[in-house]
Amino acid sequence: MCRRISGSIERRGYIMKIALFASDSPDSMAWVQTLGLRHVVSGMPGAVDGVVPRQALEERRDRFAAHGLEWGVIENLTPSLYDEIMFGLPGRERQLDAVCRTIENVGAAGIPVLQYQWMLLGGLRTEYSPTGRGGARYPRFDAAVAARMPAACLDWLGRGRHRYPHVPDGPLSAVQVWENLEWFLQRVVPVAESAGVKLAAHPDDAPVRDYMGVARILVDEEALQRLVDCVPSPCNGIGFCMGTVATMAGVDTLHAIRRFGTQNKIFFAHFRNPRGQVPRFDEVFPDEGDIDMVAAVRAWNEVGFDGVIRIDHCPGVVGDAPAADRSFAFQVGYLRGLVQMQEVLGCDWR
Amino acid sequence: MRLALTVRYGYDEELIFAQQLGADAVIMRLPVEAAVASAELLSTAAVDPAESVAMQATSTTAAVQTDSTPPATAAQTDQVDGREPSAPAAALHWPLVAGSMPSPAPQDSTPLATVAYRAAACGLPLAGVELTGMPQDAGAWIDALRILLDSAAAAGVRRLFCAPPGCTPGAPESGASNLAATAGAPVRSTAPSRSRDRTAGPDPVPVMNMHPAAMLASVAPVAPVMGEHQAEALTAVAPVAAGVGVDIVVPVDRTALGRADKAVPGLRLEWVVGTQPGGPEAGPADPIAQQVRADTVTCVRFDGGGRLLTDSSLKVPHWAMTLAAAGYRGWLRAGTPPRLTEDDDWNPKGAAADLGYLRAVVQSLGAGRP
Repeated sequence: MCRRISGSIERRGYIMKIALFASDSPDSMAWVQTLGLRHVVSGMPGAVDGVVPRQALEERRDRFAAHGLEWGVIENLTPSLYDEIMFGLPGRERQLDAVCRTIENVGAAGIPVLQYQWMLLGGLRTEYSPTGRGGARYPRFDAAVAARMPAACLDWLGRGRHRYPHVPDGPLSAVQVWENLEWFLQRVVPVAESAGVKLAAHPDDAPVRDYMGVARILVDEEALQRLVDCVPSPCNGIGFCMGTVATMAGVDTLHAIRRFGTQNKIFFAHFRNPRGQVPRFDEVFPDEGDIDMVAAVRAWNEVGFDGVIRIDHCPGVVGDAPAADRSFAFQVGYLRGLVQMQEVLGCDWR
Repeated sequence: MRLALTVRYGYDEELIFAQQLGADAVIMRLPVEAAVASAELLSTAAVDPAESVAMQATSTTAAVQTDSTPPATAAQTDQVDGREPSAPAAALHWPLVAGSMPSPAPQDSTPLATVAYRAAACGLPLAGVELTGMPQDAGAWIDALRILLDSAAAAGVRRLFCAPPGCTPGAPESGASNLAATAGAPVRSTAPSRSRDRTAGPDPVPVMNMHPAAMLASVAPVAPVMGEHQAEALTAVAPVAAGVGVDIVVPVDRTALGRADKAVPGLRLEWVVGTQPGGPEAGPADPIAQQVRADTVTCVRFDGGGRLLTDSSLKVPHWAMTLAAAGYRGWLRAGTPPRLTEDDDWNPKGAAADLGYLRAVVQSLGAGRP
């Protein structure tokens, strides 16, 4: 990081923590270690009566630690644990109580960041185009295509009747969705503060304003600002997905990094570089997207981001295993290379 | 600077891999035995001198075309070394419809021609061919390379990556003191005319006129840390290479690089940045920068010695900055990648990580995006 002190520049090493999403299986942990990483992001263990047990969290944390890995972020708070809150349904009080217990357990287990999302219908993609570089398969969202087959585009389609996410039973306006989010944050943020857990909201991916009549609200910079302002707290912030932010219509990702980074409101980041913005975008390799990744890494350091940045989705590479190891390896090498070069080049190159 | 990925001839998945991960070109590794045997069969076939001239003209044109993907980039590929293209790019249409690719002409059906064809058919520039399994006897090495140089020229392959006989790539050899004493003599061999008698090899007219010490000195600038027989082997083939417009790219380490200060026609260097101690930090008078300005280096290979480049001790950012500051416009590539967890025999996961790393290095230096 470079800081200007009386006209000079003080240089420090880069402080963000590069991570991969991992399970606590030996193979998964070995893979992370092989790539020279020491930080992981992992999902939430199974809930019991809607509450994720502290012991389960601690056991997973300890398995990671035994392999020299630090579990820095839970991705995500399981949506089915709070879907009735998102939709403003009668069961929301019951779910709220369970979520608060879960947050307390996360804090007790020493995991500093809990990401959640407020996408009532989950993530959206329309296809996996095989027309990427060299025939790589790029995940794509195309609103025109989605309009013809909206249900099929629910990327995380729930299983069984009325399991999240599902085709909605009725429309929901932006006003209503915001009301439900603010209701949620007003009650969980104080719990998070007491537990020492930072709540990071992932913006809506794809960042379209509504889908199947249900509003999607975290779709631009002003919405993210409203999110952090509605309940001012050092524990209320953003899971800054570079890919999602970059696909927001008219948004400049570097500007957003600086805007929210200087407010210390970015608790977690995703490293991804798409091409295009809504209504149509592709998830391409990080060296060929619309974001100047060299400048982005510099921006992360300028704002002093010391959180976890995780390699996000990636295109499909020939011969890759289902876990897309080759593609992830490329991205890890790429990000680490950017960081190493910035450490050597400092602030004034380019 | 641009990135090349090393791939094996005959392994098409590696070509696709290279393209998907954004390699700017490939260096195709080719076992020599089959290449030499096939080329010998073609070269010993009865050839009318007049037909030979016509074939030469045709293959030269084809050479320019097949050295790049779309013909329009042939000049760009050639200028990586700062030299002008040897012939204007002809308009050759590469139909992209499956099943309608042009077949190589019979006289081009050597392994080197097929190497060039495969790369072009995939839309990948071919930075060169890396020869493996070369004979270690100097005489056999010279004979093999002479055949391969002709074949390369006919196929439009601009660079043959090849270590001298008995030389461990990248490792300094003993017995260099005699060469060091004669290094620096400004003797240059001009390109000999191509011989029509393929069994005798090309006519080494310029070299034959040199004093033996001068012969060794002529290659000393690029092969100073080698045994005498290795230098002699390079001496024998350098004029041939220059005559057919193909470069022999010799791997050298930093110590050897430090003594090469003049370009020799037909010979170029691949600087192998390995686990040898890097020596003093680069500065304005650093020999690496001097070599770049002298146009002796055509490729730089970062060899992590079994580790990912991200975790090696190579100081890649430092050397990359040095190269960039000196105006280096050649190729970068990674050495043999480490084997990561549960990987295929060619270590694609490690290769992917190293390629991503080098891409970040190049982009950070403002050298462009694919």
